[in-house]
Amino acid sequence: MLRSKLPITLTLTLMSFIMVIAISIPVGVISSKYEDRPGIRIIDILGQLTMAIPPFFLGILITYLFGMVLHMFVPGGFVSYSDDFWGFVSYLFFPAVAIALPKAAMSVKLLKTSILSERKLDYVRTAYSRGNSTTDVMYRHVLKNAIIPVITFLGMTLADIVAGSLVIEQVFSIPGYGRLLISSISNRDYPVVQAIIAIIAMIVIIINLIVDILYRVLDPRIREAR
Amino acid sequence: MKGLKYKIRNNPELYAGALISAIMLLIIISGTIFSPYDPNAMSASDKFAAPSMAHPLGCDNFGRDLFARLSIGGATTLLVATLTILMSLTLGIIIGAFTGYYGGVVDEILMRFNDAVLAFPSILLALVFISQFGSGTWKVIISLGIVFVPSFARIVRGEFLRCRNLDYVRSARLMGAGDIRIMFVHILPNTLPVVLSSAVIGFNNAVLAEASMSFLGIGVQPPASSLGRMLSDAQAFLFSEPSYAIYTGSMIALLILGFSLLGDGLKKNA
Amino acid sequence: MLEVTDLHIEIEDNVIPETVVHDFDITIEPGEIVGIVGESGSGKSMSAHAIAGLLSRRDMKKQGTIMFEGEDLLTVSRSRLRQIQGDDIAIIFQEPMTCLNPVKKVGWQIEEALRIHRNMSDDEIKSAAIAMMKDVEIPEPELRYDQYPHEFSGGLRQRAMIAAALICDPKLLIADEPTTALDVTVQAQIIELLRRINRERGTAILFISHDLSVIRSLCSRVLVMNKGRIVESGPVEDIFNDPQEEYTKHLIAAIPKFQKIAPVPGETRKPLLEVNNVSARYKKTGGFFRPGNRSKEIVKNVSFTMYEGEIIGLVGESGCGKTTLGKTILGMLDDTDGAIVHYSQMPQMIFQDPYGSLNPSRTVGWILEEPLRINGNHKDDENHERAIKMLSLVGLDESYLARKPKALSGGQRQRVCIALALMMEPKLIIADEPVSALDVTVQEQVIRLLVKLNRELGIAILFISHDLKVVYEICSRIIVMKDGVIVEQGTDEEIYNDPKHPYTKQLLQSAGYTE
Repeated sequence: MLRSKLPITLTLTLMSFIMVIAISIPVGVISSKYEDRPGIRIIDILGQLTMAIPPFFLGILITYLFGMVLHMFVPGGFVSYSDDFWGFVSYLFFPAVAIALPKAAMSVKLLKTSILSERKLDYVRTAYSRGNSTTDVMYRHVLKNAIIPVITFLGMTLADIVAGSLVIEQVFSIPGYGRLLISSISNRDYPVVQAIIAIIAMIVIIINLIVDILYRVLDPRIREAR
Repeated sequence: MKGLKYKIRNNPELYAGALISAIMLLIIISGTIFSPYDPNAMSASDKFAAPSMAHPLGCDNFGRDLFARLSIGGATTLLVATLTILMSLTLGIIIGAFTGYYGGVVDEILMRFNDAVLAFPSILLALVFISQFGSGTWKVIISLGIVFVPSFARIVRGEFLRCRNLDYVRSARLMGAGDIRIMFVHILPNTLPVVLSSAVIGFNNAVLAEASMSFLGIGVQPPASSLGRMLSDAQAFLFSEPSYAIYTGSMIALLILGFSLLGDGLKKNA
Repeated sequence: MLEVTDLHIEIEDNVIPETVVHDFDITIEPGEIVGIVGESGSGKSMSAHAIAGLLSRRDMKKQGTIMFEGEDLLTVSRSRLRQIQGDDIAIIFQEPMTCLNPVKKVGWQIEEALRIHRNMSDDEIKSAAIAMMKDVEIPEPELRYDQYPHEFSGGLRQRAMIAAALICDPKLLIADEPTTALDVTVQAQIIELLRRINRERGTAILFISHDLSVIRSLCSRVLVMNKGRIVESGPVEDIFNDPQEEYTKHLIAAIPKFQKIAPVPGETRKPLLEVNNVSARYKKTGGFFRPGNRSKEIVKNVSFTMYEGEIIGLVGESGCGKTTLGKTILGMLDDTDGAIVHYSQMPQMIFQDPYGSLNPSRTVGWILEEPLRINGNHKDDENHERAIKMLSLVGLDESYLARKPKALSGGQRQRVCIALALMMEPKLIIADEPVSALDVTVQEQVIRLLVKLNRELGIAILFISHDLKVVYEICSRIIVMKDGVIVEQGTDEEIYNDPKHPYTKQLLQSAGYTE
């Protein structure tokens, strides 16, 4: 029974994660590029607002707006993957958005700050002195360095997304680990609780391992450190 | 005053955050102390009453005044978050100071442990705690208080690592100052800007965590009210009375927004 | 080739726009080496960066003209400016570590300008880069090509920067304090390299520095700048031998030269400190999970004696162990051998970096009174009095007590550090590079202060430095260190005029000492 819920959590997590990356990297790069134009503050403000909204409230708002008012999905109408795979995936779309948006906003902010502080460094000035254009400098020099802290953050975020999915399940009535976990806690069904925690722990550990490896690949200084 | 306009332009987050937080605090305090209504007093006739002079935000499904309930709920959330942060900050500073200053084997072991805990989402760890010890206001505070210690410890440790080899510390040692004095009289004041801004950010996370836990039903238990719990109740009436959910959720969001901006502003100043 | 007229630079991103350079003119003919000298804040770097086209077009307002081969660099299009940058005009900076991209291979960075400005195949580019590396004397260029900046030493990194700048054979090379962060012997090598480049390739060089003696050895003409404007300019020898303006005279007088500041009083021959066969090691941080801690021996079997009231110079280049020796004498290291005998109480120390030496979150008064509190003296009035007395000894008045380090200049901070050292009434002060981070005019004041304290209060000073000129000015005995051992020690006469060890001779030669 527990194993059957794994694909649900994994799919939801994966979809959210991909959304976070797909949104935050372009938006982060663009908002740092046009940092001095007056209108760009809007993105900052939007970002702050999005980050402040708790994921479950965002889920409720999405349910109301897209589910009840616009009828883009049926709230509570979860489709099992064994019945209809695409129905399963499309139902999970909105829950994934609810989880992804606040994380994406944080990621944008981090990437932007990282790019901006990286741009002030001396080697960027050297790159300009050789005749690089602003675009050259960004893509050949700055991005590779600036993205390093963002990778760490994304790794941590992945674990948070897993946790977030547990809460979102309540909002969208998804029969995943979350609901089982909550009911097990209320019923004091410890073996189930321990099992679920153990599974999630495994997922988190594997994620951290992958992030560590990625970190070494990107930064040659880390490779040297003994 | 000319200087003030310049300061605001340079650090809008700080002032916006302070303003919003202050307003929210004002709302919560006035609602808690001055409201003529008992937030738990039910009244069938006022069920889902629309906003009016008598009830500024209307009533919920049991006819309880919404403004009063939101205020009390906000107060509970703030109380839990404050106590949580006080607890984890104290423990975090002590652990961070000693490991950052002394280093060595103990530091290595503690930090591995720290990182392991840090890698896990705080909610999950709090859930584990709750599953063992049951839920309730104080259990929430303790569980979150423990869960937040690693992040503070790491930040404080980082600051102490940075400062311990600076010349003014060496100078103090040469004069004969003992380690404890150096740690808490010499180094600690220099870490305050960073610690303060992390405390505010941590406070935010605590608010979010508490709201999430009570949303799931394993946080603060009735009759004590909590915004998360209220939102979970409101979800059932989403179609008929969306305003209930929207007011409640916005309350949480504004609280978080205010402190989040404040935290960012403080970080910028540091 | 280059003619700058009436350059005016204003920074606009503060509340009040700040003029940093005004009425700046300079002409450079092909193949010339011209220098700009000035202290920090004089505007020399700004002007140079303006010529290199590096100043932001947005928050720096510029007026005037920068005519380079018939084009005005201030008004030319951005794409044309980019064509010139790296190809016709190149620039090297002071800190080679931060000026190179840490995550890209050195070879790639050296080639970069070629890739941007020329249409060559990858192989041609690579061989050009390696040829350039050979030309700037980087050993094993094929191997080094694939390495990263953190694998290069400071001197090699600067050579790599020079290689990268010269790869397109620019007409003008701007060098912004390129040797300031390097050891004396490496400095001399880099200067020689620049001379050779100028001779062989005819590249004009604009050399910026605060160090007049370096400029003298390299440039044919020099401009003296102060507070954003040119004070005086002309052929190098004229400026040195016959300065016209007050500021120039002041600047030249303040340069450490090989001359004594004050006749040093005869020592009393009462021993104050004995260092007997001392070695010191740093543990390589391994920790629990990496067994096999190897320690590195920094100080190897060092012995010398210090007497009351004398000023001894401890010289050597970075990494020779002089700072570590100082720390060992103060008991700050654990892993040591040998014996250190103090005949009086524990000496006090003054550090190099005035910015890190004072607790930034406390007032000067608190900092000064702290040593008294630590040692049990909690009588506030007495402590207060003593602090005021020490401040006056270093030439600062009572108002400084309430200030925080942030509000003080480098020279003022260093004086507070000295006052702090005096609070404990030591007989010996160990001064670790106390003036290296200060401007030349301020340096002189601090050194004179130390000499005054030595004469009036009889405080002995162990003066650690890499600057042979400053050491000559005030020290009666000198100890020379290299790689953790004392290679030679003796009186100032012996060391400077009759050096025995080859390393001592090399040091003196690099510092420009001639009898």
